[in-house]
Amino acid sequence: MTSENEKVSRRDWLKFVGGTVVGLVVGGVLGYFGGAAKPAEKTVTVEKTKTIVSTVTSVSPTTITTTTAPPPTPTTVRIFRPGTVEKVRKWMEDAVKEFEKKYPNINVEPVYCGWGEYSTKIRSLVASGQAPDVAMIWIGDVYYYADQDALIPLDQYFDVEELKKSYPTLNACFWKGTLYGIPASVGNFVFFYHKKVFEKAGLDPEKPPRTWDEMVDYARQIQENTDSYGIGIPGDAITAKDVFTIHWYTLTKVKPEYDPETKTVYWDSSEGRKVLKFLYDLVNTWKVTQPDPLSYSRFDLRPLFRDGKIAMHFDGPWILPMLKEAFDFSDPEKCPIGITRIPSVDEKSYPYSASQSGCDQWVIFKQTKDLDAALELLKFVTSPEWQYKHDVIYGQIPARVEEYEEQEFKQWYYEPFKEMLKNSGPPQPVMIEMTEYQRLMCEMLQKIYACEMEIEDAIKAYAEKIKKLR
Amino acid sequence: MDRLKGRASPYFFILPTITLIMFIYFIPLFETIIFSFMDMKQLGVVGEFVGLRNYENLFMNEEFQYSFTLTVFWTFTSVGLIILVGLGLALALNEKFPGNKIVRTLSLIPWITPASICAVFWRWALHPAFGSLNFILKSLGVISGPLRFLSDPRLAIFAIILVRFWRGLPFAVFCFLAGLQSIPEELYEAAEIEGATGFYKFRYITLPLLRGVIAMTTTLLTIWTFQLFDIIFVLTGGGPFSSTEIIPIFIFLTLFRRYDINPALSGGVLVVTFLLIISFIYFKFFGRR
Repeated sequence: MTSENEKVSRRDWLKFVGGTVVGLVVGGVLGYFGGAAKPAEKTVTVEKTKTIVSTVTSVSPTTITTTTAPPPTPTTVRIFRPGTVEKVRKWMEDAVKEFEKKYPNINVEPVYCGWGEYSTKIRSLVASGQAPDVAMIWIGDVYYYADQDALIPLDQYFDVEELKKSYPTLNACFWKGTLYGIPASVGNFVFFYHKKVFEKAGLDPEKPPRTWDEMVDYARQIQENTDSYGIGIPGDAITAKDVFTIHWYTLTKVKPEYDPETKTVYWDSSEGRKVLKFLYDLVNTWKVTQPDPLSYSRFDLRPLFRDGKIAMHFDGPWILPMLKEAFDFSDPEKCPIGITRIPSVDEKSYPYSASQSGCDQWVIFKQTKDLDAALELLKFVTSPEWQYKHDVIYGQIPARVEEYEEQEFKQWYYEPFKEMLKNSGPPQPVMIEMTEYQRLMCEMLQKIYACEMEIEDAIKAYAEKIKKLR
Repeated sequence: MDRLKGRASPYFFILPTITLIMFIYFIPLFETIIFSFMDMKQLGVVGEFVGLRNYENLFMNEEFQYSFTLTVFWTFTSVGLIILVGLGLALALNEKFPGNKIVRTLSLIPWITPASICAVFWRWALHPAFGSLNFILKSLGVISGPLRFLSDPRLAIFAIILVRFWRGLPFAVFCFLAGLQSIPEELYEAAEIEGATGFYKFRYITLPLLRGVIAMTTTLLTIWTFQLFDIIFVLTGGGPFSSTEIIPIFIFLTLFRRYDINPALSGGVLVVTFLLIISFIYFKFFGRR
C-alpha cells in the first residue's frame, strides 16, 4: 500500500467537517426548540386549601394543605432516599409507579445510594448543581443545607399546625424558626435482650434489668455462666455516641448536651462525668461488654446479638427486620427476644428512662427546576399510605401518629418504642457542624474506652474543641 | 498542504480521547487549583480571592502536619518493604523448581483481587475476636491475648502497612521477574568462569542491570501508595484517633465529614503537585530507557 493511499483525501476531510457542522447545527436547532417547548420559568400556581385525603385503610384521614397545582407539561423530578438499596427499591419502585399513574406528566427518577456513601453522594450532587429535587437527608444535613440557603422553606406550602398534629417529631425539622423538612424516617432506641441467654445464665427471661446496677449484675451473671458477653457497646467513629446520649438523656431527663449559642457544654458537669464513668466502668472496670468496643459499630453488634453472643443491646427499630427474619415474633411469649425500656439510673433517685430518637427528613433542594412537581412528589411520599408502607418495609416506627392505628404497629414489639418516644430527645445539638460534633464525641468516647485519656482530661480537651465549632 | 494533513491526522484521531480527558480530569483539576486560592464557604459557589492564605493555613494546621508526616512514614515503609521482599521473591521465582508456574500464578491473587474485597477480607482477618491472624499468632505462641490491630492507635498504621505490603508485593515481584529474565545468561556464565560467587554475581550483574526496573517500580509504587484511599478507608476510616489518617483520607474527611472546603482543596492541590514531581523525576531519569 502506498503512502498516498494512507493519507486522508481532501474530499474525505470536507465530508467529515461538513457532516460535523451539519450535525451540530441540527442538534443545536433541535435542542433549542426542544428546550423552548418547556416554559422558561415556572409559576407556582396558588390554589388555597386544596386538600389531599389519605386513602389508606384503617388509618384516620389526615389533611395536608397544599398551595400548588400539578405541572401542566411533562417534567422529570429526581428523588433520593439513602439506605440499604434492596429495601429502598422495594418501597420506591411501587411508590414511583403509583405516583406516575396519578401524575402522568411527572416522570420520577429515583437515586439510590447506601448510607455508607450518603455523605459523599449528597455533597457531590449539590456541589455539581445536580441536587435531587426531593431528598431524604440526615437531620444534621438539614441544618447544614438550611444554613447554606440550599433548601426550600416548606412552611409556605404546608399547614404547619396540621403537620404538628400528625408528626410528633416535627420540632426537629425547623432551622431558625422555619420549617425545612418533613419527618421521613423516625426511630428511637430501646433495650433489647436475649431471653435464651438469660435462661442459660439462670436469669428470669421475663424480668429484664430496670436499672444500671441491675444491668451490670445481669451482665456479670451472664458472663460467668454462659459464653456470651453481657452488654454490646459500639465504639466506632460513627455510632459510639448514641449510647452516651441515651444514658445522658436518662440521667438528665432529656437535657441538651450543648448549646451552640452560649457555647455551654452541659456534659462538662457532674452528670456528664457520671455517665462517662459508668460507660468506662462497663468496658474497663467491670468488663461486662464485648472486648475492644472500638472494633464494633452498632451494625457489627446486631448479628452478634441475634446469634446470642451478646445478651443485651441498645438499638432502634432498624434491627427489627433482621430479628423478625430469624425468630417468630408473632407471640411475645415464644419470641426469644425481649424488648423493653432503657434501664433507668436508679429506681429511687433517678427512675426516669429516656432515649434518643433519630429523625431523617424529606426536603426539597432549591436547585429543583420544577418546584410544583417536587412538591407534589413530596406530598405523595409523605402521605399516610406511603409513609406507612415506607415505615413497615424499612423497619421504622411510625413517623405519623395515624400509623399507630395500623395493625402492624399494634404489635407487641412496637409498644416499648411508643413508650420510649414520649421520653425521647433528638440527636444533639442543632448546629451547622453537627457532624463534626458527633465525630468529636465519638473520638472522646473511644479515648475513654481505650484508656488513652482520663475522663477529666477528655472532658476538658473535647469541650474546648467543641466550643470552636459553628 | 499534504504535509500539514499528515501532521494533523494523529491529533485528529486522539481528539475524542483528549476531549474526554479534558472534561473528566483537567477541568475539575483546573477548577480545584483556582478554588484553592479562594475562600470557599460552599461547594460549587465561587468564593472571595484570598491568594495563598489557604496554603498558609494548611501548613499551620496541626492535623495536616501530622497527616503529612504519617503519609511519608506510611509510603516509605510500605514501598521499602515491598521492594526488598519483592526482589528476594523474584530472585527465588527466577530459579527453576517444581511448581514454579503454580507459585507464580498464585502469587498474583492479592494483585488481581478488587480493593473492596481485600479490605473486607483483611477487616475480618485482623479482627481481635474472630480474626484469623490473631488465631494463628496465638496458636504459634507468639501472643498470649488478642492484638487489636485496627483499634489500637499504635498498631493500626502497621496493620495497614501489612495490607499494603500484601497487595503491592505481586506487582513488584513480577516487574523484577521480567527484569531478571531480560538479563543475558552469558553474563552469569562469564562471571562463573572468573570464579564469581552468588553474592558477587548479584552485586555486580543483577543489581546494576535491574536498576532501571527497580527505579520504575519504586516510583510507581510510591505514587500509588501515597494516594491510596479505598482500602484504608474501609479498614479504619482514618482512625482510631486519626492514627491512619494519611493525606487522601485527611482530604476526604475534611471535605465530606468536617465540611471544611479550603484545607481540602489546598491539600488536594499539594498532593497532585507532589505526585507530579515524582512523575517528573521518573520520566526525566527513567522515561527514555
